[in-house]
Amino acid sequence: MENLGIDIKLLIAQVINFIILFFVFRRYLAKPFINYLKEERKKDEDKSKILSELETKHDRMIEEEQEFRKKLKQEQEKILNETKRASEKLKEELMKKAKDEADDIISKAKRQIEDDREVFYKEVKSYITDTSIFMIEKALKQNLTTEVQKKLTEHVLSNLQKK
Amino acid sequence: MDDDLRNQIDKLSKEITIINIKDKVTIMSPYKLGDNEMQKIKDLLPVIKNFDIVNVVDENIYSGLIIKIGTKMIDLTLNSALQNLRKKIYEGH
Repeated sequence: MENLGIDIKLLIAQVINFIILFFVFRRYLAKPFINYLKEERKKDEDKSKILSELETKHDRMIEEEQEFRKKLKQEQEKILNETKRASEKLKEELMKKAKDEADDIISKAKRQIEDDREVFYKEVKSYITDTSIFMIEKALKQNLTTEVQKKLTEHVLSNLQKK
Repeated sequence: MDDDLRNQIDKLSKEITIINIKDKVTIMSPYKLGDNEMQKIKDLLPVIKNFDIVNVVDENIYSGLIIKIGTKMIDLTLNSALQNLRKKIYEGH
């Protein structure tokens, strides 16, 4: 062994040294480092998990948003249709009311015209009657002599005596 | 109209019995009535023969006469005929 240049004592010392180094390395370097790596890996896994959860939530939220938008649109259409129907109905009611009022006004106007015509007719008739009677009375005053009056009186009495 | 007047005269004849005898008869005419006419009136309404008859001239009467006894009256004038005519025309509306 000495001819090969290998010193047993040195070799044993190196082996012991190596073993000590190994144990020291393992205890104070490898383990912490491995623990560190484990922790990092765990952190990464957690992060991935969280990220995955967030993505899932995000997807769900997008779905919910789309669902909400869809419902909102349906509600809007529903409200719009109802509003259209209500406005159509209101329009019909207003038109009917306007027509009824117009018909009523026309009827009243016709009645008023008839009433006015009736009043006018009565007034004209009264005027003509009064004027005619007045003219007759005036003519009688001017033209009835005592002789005529006597004849008329006699005529009245004679007619009444006949039975 | 004559029938209506005759009915009034008949009605008055019946009512006169309850009129006070002291009431006088007033005959209003457009001129002074003669005896002949007064007689005709008495013939028409015999019951007035028992009353004091007064003839009043009213120039507003066109022709005919009005016989008043107390509160009763018969209008035989042309004036009332014209008024009736006016009334009938008005009623004809």
